[in-house]
Amino acid sequence: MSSERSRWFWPGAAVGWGLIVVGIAFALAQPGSTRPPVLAAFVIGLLVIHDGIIAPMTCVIGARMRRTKTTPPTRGIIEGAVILSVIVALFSVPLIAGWGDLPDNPSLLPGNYGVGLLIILAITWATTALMLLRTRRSAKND
Amino acid sequence: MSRADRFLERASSVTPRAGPLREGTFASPLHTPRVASVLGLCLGIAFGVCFLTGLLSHLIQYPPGWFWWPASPSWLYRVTQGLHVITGIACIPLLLGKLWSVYPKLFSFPPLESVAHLVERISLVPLVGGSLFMLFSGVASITRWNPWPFSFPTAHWVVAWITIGALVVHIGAKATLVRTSLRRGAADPDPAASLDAPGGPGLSRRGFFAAIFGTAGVLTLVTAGQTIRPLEWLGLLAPRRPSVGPQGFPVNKTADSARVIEAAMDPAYELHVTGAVETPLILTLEDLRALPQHEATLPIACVDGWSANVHWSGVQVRALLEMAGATEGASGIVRSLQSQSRAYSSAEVSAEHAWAEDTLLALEANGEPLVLDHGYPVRLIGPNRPGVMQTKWVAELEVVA
Repeated sequence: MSSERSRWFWPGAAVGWGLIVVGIAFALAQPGSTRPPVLAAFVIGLLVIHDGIIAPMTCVIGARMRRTKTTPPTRGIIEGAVILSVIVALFSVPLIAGWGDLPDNPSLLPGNYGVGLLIILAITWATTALMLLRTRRSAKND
Repeated sequence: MSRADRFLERASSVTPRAGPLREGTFASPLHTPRVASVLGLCLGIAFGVCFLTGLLSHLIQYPPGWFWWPASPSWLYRVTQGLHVITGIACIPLLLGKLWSVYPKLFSFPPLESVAHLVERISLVPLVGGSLFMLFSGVASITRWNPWPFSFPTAHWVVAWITIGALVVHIGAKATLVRTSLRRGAADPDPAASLDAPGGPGLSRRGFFAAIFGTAGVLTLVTAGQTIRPLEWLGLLAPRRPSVGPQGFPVNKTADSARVIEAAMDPAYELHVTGAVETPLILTLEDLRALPQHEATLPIACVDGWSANVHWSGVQVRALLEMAGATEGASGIVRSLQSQSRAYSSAEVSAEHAWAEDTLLALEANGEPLVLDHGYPVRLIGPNRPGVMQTKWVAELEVVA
């Protein structure tokens, strides 16, 4: 690790932590707007959710997929489709739930986002099926 | 080796190795410096674009004395803010992919090798937490979901500085490793899982890049239509459609939520031109309609990243300034009928914008009198300004010498 460390490490650390302190100072200078304890809880909380829940779940899903009888090329294609599907679905959650929707403003969140997500997933998995078919045919021809 | 480094090394050596700390726990070929470097480089560029465009938007809205923002081209803010939101959305799969590629580092052993290593690891807290917060809060904000008690613009601003600072630390720590990893012909630590071979566990590195960049591409395609009109039909997950709303374009704040319906509909409504003028003006709606009307097609460009072209008609601000005897080059403050304690109830108009040909106090949009939600009876519209500064339900134009 130390042999790979750049000569820019300490200058970068000094400048970077300077900027971090500037940000923290901005936050503390306007406590009514930033609510520093709550803001810090959100920042740390999202990190904990990712490292403590999302990433371990990804490990579990990956391990489960490795135990299936699919071959690596097939499994790789399916894993790629799962990655796309999960990330797009996560992005669409506030849209579908409509948490920000206001009844007196129909121009806000005007779409049918559940249908939109289904269309994206349908195209994704149809494309995945075509790729799997092509992979199987290539394997038969070899 | 310093005393502190020796202490950390000894402390690390007594840490038991179990669970994810065991060697070989993470067998995927995706956890290599090359994967992390490629995604890290793309993410660094994307975050840089987001930071600079976001900084620009902040400076336009809260201009320090030295800042200057032109009135032309009229579409420039639409482009920079559209780019800000589009790039931010594309960062979501890039960040998740990068975090996945380096996840085993969380359990690296020994956990602390030196003081420099300690500084590097501690800096990851604001980097990862800040990055996740910026993207989460950005997405929540463009969908108008605010599950927090703090002000989104202020929180997004302060955490941006913290995240960029942490990114600078990270770049300083990893520059050599990234350069080495991305060098053509660099030795692959795991030749069995190269780009051209599927390797053991399934998704190859090429497949992983395809999935991550493909997801970024899909998210961009299905959301960019909220600002790029030709892509509107593809906007399956776009929080706004440029053509959807009263008079053919979206509304942010409604008259009801701004609590101005009574004041805006008052038959006794008057526009006041005050401040550094020879002759203060008091104009009724009929007075304004009787003045020479100017037309301009200008985008309304929101900080949420959506935008729409609208054909406006109204009185030129500079015409009013000349009528009132303002000094050429004077600037102004436009105030709304909203309570002045509410956010965005007033906006500064620089001299550059106040005297621009197409800066109007608009009475009509797309050929019809303004509706209440779009600022009836009068709203400010000028070229190359954020939507929050295009004040609706205008009550006063105060001229500043």
